[in-house]
Amino acid sequence: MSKTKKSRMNLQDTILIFAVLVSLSVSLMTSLANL
Amino acid sequence: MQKIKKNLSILIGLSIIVMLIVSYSRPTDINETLFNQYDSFDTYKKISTNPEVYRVAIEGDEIGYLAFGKSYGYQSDILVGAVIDDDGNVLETQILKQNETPSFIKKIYNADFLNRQFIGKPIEEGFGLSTNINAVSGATVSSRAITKAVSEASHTIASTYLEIQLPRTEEIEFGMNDIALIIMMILALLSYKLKNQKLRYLTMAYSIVILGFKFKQFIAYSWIVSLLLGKAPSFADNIGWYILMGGTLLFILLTGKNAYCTYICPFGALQEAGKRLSGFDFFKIAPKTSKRLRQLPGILAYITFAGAVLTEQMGLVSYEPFSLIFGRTGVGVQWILLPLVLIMSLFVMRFYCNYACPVGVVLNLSVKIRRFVLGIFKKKEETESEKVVA
Repeated sequence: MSKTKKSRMNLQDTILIFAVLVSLSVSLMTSLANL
Repeated sequence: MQKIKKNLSILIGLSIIVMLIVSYSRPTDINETLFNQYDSFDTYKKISTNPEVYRVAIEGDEIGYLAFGKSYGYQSDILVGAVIDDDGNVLETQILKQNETPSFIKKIYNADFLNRQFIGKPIEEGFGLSTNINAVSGATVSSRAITKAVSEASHTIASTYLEIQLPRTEEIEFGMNDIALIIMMILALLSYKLKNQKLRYLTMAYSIVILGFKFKQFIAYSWIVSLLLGKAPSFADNIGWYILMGGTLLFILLTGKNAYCTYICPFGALQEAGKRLSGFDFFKIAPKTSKRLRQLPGILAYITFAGAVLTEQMGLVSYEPFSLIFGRTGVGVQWILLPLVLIMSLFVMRFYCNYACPVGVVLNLSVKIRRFVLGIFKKKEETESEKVVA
């Protein structure tokens, strides 16, 4: 039970990390595109 | 670990101060290579240094004067050069230097604003958005700044060389958006004081609909960077800037709370509304992950700040998605951000605010700096009172 919970938590963390990294890379690309 | 963190903060603080000193010590002269952009003349001769005025000629025939004007637009000073003939008519206007948000300046060029609104017009009538100049829709603030800069240039020439007396009119633009901002500030203050949940929701709704969609008012990161570089619009030109920035900074100074992010920012309110309405609460994040990810927006804000200050390219610090949703303007790749942020904010409370926003980084840092400074004073007081007791 706790193992499933843990793996789900990890998946959610991974999704968040992915979304944050995409957001920040797009922000950086926008910033550079404005040059 | 604590020591490393402290040293790093000092290092970052010092580097910011050094960058600002470098920026302030840059010369601000009008660079003559900028003249290459002009079509209406081929030679020029400096006839005045302060203010700078040039006599310009085509194939040896003197045709008029070139003078300059500068005014603050949305996020930067806009330097405009105007060529005015000996009869007092505008021959040509050019933007020589600007650092506005690229999508706004693109609108100005697409509308052919400089040629259509100024060329051929006599300067004795003066130029004003409420009289004879039509602003470009969606770029009003930049249009106003350009108009003001052309007026400044024409004043220089009219009074000294053409013996034309122009009325010096400082138009104070107090519009509906300024009233909307004042109401917003009152709502934020009441929400903070009364801590009433219903009032907070009303404040959020007002922020999204009125501040966001209707008037497109929000603090941009570039405003803060410009302010640090000592640049701000004149009060008469942009009262809204003063209400929003002044109100936000005053709130932090007096209460130590960042009310802008919590109550005022329409983008933050929109995300929070999304999360509350969706009711999705299965997305749980490990505190450690969240804490680490929250460091990233500060790093991006620092890198872009350094880039903008050192290269004088303010475009580097305009990467937030606010005007994508409220103003429907943006550049290329930026459009990916909007759906991503909106979808994520249904699952994660204030996704963009927590993990990407540079404005939040700076405002929260201001709160910390205030606390730090107050802490020093408190310590001093304590040691002094201890001395008295001793």
